[in-house]
Amino acid sequence: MDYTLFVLGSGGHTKEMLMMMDDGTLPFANTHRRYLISRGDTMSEHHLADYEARLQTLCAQIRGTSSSSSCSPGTHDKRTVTRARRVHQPLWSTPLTALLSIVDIFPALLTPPDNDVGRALRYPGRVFSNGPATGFFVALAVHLLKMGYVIPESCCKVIYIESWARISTLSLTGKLLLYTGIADVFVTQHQEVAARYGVQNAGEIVFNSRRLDDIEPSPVKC
Amino acid sequence: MAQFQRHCLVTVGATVGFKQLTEQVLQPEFWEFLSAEGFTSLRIQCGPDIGWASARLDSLRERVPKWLEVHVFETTPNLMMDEMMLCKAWSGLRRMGVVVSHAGTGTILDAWKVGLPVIVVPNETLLDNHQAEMAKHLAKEGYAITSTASYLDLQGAIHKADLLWQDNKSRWPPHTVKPQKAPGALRLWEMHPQEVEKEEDAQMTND
Repeated sequence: MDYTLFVLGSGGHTKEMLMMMDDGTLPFANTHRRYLISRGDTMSEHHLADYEARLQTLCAQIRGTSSSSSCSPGTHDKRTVTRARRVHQPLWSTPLTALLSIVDIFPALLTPPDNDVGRALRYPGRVFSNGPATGFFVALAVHLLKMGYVIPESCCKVIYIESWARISTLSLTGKLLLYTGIADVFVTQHQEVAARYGVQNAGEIVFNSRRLDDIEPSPVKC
Repeated sequence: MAQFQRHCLVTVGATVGFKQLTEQVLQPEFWEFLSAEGFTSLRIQCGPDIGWASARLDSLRERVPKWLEVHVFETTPNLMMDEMMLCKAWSGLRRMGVVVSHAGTGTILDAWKVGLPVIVVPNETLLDNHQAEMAKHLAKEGYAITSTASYLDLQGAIHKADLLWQDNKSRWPPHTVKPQKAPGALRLWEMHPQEVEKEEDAQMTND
């Protein structure tokens, strides 16, 4: 049983997150993925739909080729939250929108999925984020819920993977998480930025992604 | 005789535009070079510069080489599926094309995923130097060739991209099973608080 939360946000961050997820890992039986999407972020919705469809296809392929194994892609659902900070939004108004986003984040963390996984696991085991501002507020909400003994310490481990685009400096979300220390795992994807802030470099995880030729090989090239 | 298609996609990002680059790839000299290299199609995504870009193209219509099609457009909802797929080799139909891009990470990642040679042209007029930094990183790792926004540099880069592509071919052969393509990178699904610590210990013992 596994229940994992993914914070998606803006096209670029979502693309990277899904590439890191799409590394061919399977099966996902008894596994639930919950996605947090910012309101109005249709691009992330499309990328996500593509990812989940590819996972289904991969499972069907595996079921087709091997006689014994039954491959399950697991289950997933989506929760929409108010965007913590729009790109170019003035800094002074950020606390207000952030507050609104936290109001949506609490129920997304506290309402278990409506399936067998959700009946067995009340809270996500891990929370993944890679840079959108919402990621910081999710980590903050987790921290507050743990301080108030609402959720146990062993749940909702916050795993922050800095965006692949950040080669030499951390993003604002990354800095906030580093200085508050509320992420349980904090890694970057480049050595330069890792060395500058004294954190762990996890390598270019985005390139674990399956490529198009892995998904549907094209005919012989000339 | 049936001619193989070969596509060159130029993309500048949806929001800011990149006038210098768009101007350079709308030079008739660049078109002649592409035609000589066997390209049959040049597609330019210009973003907000679409207005003058299509006017420029119209005024130069009669200078477009016979076997080359030049097309400008503002943007497309799914650049990867709609446009990049045209650059991919297809048996009996198309030769491997090339993508010329500003150093936007979304485009770079898409091109990597589709498996296309990429030439990155950092937009030096942008205030932050993230694009230059990204371009440098991509060149260092052999993911892409860098060029300035000058058609002469671009021509050299297209030659180089052909060569680099041969290298990458052997570095990233096609896989059917799940591969670890980024050697040394952790896998997202295997990242747990304890295991990351273990990984650190392992790394320290290796060092």
